[in-house]
Amino acid sequence: MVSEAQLRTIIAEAVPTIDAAKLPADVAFADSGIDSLDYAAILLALQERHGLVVPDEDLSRTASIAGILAYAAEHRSDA
Amino acid sequence: MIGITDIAYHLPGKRISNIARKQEFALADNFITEKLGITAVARKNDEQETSDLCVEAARTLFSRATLRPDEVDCVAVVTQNPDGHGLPHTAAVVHAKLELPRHCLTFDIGLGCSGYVTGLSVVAASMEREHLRRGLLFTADPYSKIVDPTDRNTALLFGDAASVTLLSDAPVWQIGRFDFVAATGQRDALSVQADGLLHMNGRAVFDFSATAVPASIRRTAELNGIALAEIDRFVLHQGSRYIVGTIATRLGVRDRTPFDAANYGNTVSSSIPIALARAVAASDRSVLISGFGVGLNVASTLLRR
Repeated sequence: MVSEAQLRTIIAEAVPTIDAAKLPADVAFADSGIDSLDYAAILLALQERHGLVVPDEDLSRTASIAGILAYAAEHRSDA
Repeated sequence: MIGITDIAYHLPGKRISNIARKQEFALADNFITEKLGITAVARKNDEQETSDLCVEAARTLFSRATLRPDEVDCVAVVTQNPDGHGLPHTAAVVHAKLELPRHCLTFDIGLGCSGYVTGLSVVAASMEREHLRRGLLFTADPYSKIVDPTDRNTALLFGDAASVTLLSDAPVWQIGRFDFVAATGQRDALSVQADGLLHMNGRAVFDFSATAVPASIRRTAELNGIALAEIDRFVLHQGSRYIVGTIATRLGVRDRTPFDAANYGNTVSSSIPIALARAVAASDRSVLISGFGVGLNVASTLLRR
């Protein structure tokens, strides 16, 4: 299970140009200056550090901090 | 032992600016310059064939007077976009255009971004077995033949180019042991599909590259009895600035890992030999090279001089 603090740390590392601590939880990454490559790096870090695997068909559900946390809670056994 | 004696390359003069296309693809300047790292891609002329690019690279090599055409006894072409319909093999066409000797071993190698490194293994092994002395390993994979110019995943990435590497029994670079990876279940991540066009699952390619390549590089260093800290340069397939940077950062070698493709693009199997020719310092004694992509495959080895 990944916490919001852990997720924000991952985002801060993947996208050092933004202030991850102040990133609104419910705003889509794409609208917060996080591009497709940053997003791929965030998802890879979630998989490597927390075992959370997001298949391509679920990407629309993990496009924000809130979305990822909700998805992680749903897949608690994986994460 | 067979090793690398010289490398020449050909980059077509024509460029397509990615900056000029940023509005078409709704991209920010910094995505193009900092993430892709490619501000323009090289394009061959429409009438140029894959073999023509090889011939241009060969002319540069022959102009240095280190080799005469009549001394060549092996010709291999790494390409997935051969001349015409792929039959005959492009190496046969290159052989004819350069008027190389009749006794030449000629063959194509149908690999993508891992093709140069794999080709070094295959050609060097063939030459040693048959006691051949001077072989030419070409790379030429003009993806402009298969890229959809409206596809934002691929249209800004790939450039056309060719390279030729002279392998001989009087090498400048000794070739070390190789590490290979062939991932299962990911062959569609980079593939030409029924529409005849290249399709890329960028996330799958990124995940594979960011995990499999650092592991391959570590194994390659171990196989060759050298620590990462002792290696002078890491020349990776120039897929994009972001992936090269990601791999280098994971290995802690970013300061020794050049990205050279900003003005010509990802040239597939030509990217490593071009970077070897342009981005390796005269003082570098050891260079680890790693090609990765289509397959999905990785091939890595160590060069020493």
